[in-house]
Amino acid sequence: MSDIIDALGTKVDGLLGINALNTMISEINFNQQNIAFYTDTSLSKTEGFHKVPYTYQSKHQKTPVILCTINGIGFELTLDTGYHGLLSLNSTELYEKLDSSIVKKGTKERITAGAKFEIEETKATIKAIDFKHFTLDKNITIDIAKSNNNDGVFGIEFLREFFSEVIIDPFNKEIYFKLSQTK
Amino acid sequence: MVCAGICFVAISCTITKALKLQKTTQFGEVHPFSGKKTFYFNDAKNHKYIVLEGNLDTLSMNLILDYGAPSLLSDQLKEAIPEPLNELTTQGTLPNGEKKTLTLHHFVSNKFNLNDIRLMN
Repeated sequence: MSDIIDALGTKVDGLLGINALNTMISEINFNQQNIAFYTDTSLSKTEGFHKVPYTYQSKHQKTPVILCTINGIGFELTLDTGYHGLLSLNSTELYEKLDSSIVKKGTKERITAGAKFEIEETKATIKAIDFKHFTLDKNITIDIAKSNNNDGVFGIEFLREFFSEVIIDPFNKEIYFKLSQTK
Repeated sequence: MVCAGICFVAISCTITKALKLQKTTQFGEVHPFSGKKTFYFNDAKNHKYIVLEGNLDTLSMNLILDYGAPSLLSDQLKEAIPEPLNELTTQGTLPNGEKKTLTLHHFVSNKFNLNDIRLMN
């Protein structure tokens, strides 16, 4: 099939996406290497977790979006476990603030819904993300592009890098993060 | 990143394209189950996606866990599904502003069961 499927080394038949995932709680445990699905909210064990409320990306696509602050700039970050990078941000203001830490510049071809176009790709380092109720105080290498959107995407690599467990609760529209103790 | 209309997340659309899901099949509810249903995977590091092994009726399939996109099945898999499909045409806006007409084939099944999960590169 496709290049991605070749890279995966296995047949992939599609995506288990947001319309199905919004019907159940997902509990990913990277230490125990498992994921649990359930619908009973009383089964959530959230002691030691940091709770972050989320909103929907839009009324059409109910992908979780959380608010955070990076270098004093407010962002809306979309959870996209189909994104294989760490953290991708769009902000001209942050781009200019991070100018001294930018380590790579270039263009990258992106294919979206069958259309190819080039985007400017730049890597830089941020030192913290403030999620209002807790701060992720880590050096994080990000992809950043100039844009006035002040939005971004974080995926499965971001979750694995900094957290040992993540619970996504669509019934209460909350994500619970448990910081990894080993990093 | 955020598109109007069908509102695909751009990067997930890259996967969608790479998986040749342009003529997509969207499916509905996952079969409800009581209690916690836990799936183990053996791999821990250097993997980019969570892949679930499951089945729809007697048809086995591997699906990427993706909060950034609607549930979609490949055209090849769609051919094997006996249930009736409804076709929906909608318009989305790409991150570069280009308008794109997308066709979704929709069906609802309450028989999708997950039976395994693992992380894949």
